[in-house]
Amino acid sequence: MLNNVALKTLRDRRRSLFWWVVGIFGYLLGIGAFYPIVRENQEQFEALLDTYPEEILAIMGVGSEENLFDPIGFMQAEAFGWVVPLVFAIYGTVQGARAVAGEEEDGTIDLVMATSLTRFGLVWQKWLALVLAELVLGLAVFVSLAVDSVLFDVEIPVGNVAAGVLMAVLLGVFFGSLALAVGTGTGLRGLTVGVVTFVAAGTYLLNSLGGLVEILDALQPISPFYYYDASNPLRYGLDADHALVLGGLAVVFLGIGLLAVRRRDLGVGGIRLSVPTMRKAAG
Amino acid sequence: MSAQVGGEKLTVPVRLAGVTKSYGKARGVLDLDLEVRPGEVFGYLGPNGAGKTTTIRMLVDLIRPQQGTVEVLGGSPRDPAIRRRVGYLPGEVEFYSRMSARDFLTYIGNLRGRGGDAIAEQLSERIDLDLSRRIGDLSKGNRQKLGLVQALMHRPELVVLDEPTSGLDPLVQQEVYRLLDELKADGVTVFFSSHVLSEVERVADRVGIIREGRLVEVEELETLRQKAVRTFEVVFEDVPHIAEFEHLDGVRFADLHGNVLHCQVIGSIDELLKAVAKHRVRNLVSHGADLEALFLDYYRGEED
Repeated sequence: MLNNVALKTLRDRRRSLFWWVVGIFGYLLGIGAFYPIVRENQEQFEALLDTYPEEILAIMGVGSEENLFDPIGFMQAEAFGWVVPLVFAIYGTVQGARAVAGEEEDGTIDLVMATSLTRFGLVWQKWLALVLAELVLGLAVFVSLAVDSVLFDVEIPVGNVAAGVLMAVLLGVFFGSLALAVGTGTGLRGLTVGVVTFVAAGTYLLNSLGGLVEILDALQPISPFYYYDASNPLRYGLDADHALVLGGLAVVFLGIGLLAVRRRDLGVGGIRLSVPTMRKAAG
Repeated sequence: MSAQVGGEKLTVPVRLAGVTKSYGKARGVLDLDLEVRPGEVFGYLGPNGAGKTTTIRMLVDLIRPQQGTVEVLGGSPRDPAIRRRVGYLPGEVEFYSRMSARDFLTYIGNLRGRGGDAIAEQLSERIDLDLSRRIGDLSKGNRQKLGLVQALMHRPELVVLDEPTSGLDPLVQQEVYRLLDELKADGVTVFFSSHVLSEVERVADRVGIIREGRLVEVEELETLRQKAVRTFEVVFEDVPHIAEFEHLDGVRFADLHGNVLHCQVIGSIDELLKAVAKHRVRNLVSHGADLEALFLDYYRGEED
């Protein structure tokens, strides 16, 4: 695990990744266990849902025409509509920001880059570690849905589960790559997390409300979350075009990161803000 | 770039030409020209914030000059193959605190693709560094030792050390000096920075003095020492006359109170000693070559 930057990075992340896996696994298992109850009490839940405003349901990823009481609709509403994409996006953002900017702020970049490692190698191997970590998270989701189908009859065609998981992984890699690019360009981890979180939250809302507010409707396609689930992969399988948009943009961000690091001074913080100091008036 | 020495082609280990680098406030270097000779220990001396770290980080391509060229071992530090032959210890060295020291060395060795595990083990044992421990649990001194081991484990041709003894207890400092002596004996070129004069005196062959980003002086330590001021206090059995000492070669200040002489000498002390020896001497105290005073002179000169 100490052979290169990618493996070393995964090694460093193994503890936190373990807890992310435990978290998403536990959540999906809990949601699965809930499914038999929901199905048996469909009428009461329908009555309850009728009292919810459409906007609230939209934010939770519940489309108006969705059937919430078959396994796919249920999983979409409870997990793939919001928790799963947000978990993948947040994990990607945090890891992407840590990738280069984190090492710069920690000061560990000095010894690493004084070796014969190239800057190109550093960035792309960090990216590789991010993709691998997101795949591990994806595997956790996949396995937990398999367990759900065995234990709680939440049966979804395996190909569709794979499609849903792949889209979540791509979404995570998208935000991770964006964070990697911003972090590599600025060397500032906090700023990077802030900017990318803002983008993620904004585009999430844009996509959720897009179906309700006419003026936002046309803007939906600028949201990565639109490509994540507009095609409803859990129900209809993989939409290759949408997958390519997310994956392609992630690669573009990687390219930006690779270009950005070539000309930078490392470990000095790319942006400096000078705050004018107040001086006491003499006398 | 190479120079012919004794028929053998020797690469200039470090060459800076017209290097300017500035960032932030009052940090950086200005139009720096500097050449380090093969096999020498070069002390890079200056107060904090003078531009020492800026210079050093350019030597390993962490930062890049705005103007001028930086040449290391005959090539550019951007070239990974060049960096592989350099050992570097940052001023405030940071590690992955959760890793064991041994794992860290393995990792760095792998990134270099030049191994060095055996040397690392050997060296660590000798300087009493426990590689099985978590880096986060190591003391400041032991972390500095680890920094040195990673800088030396691959048998580099050039070693660049940024304030290698800063913040260390005297015992570890001595250890560092010993390592520097050994490197020198092995013909390794060492470029190290310091703001402590006595340490530069102890280990360097040549000294470059940097102040506010400009190289003020580059000199052999011997030459510098000859310019340095030594203070003497002589207690006589009898009472000599001040005129006997005042105008001697090298004496720049003399003051006699009864039978006690205070004086400052630059360079050779030969004449003073001969004059003193004409009397019966009860005691003589020398305060050694005071590079500190010389150093202050450079700064005073700049302020004028």
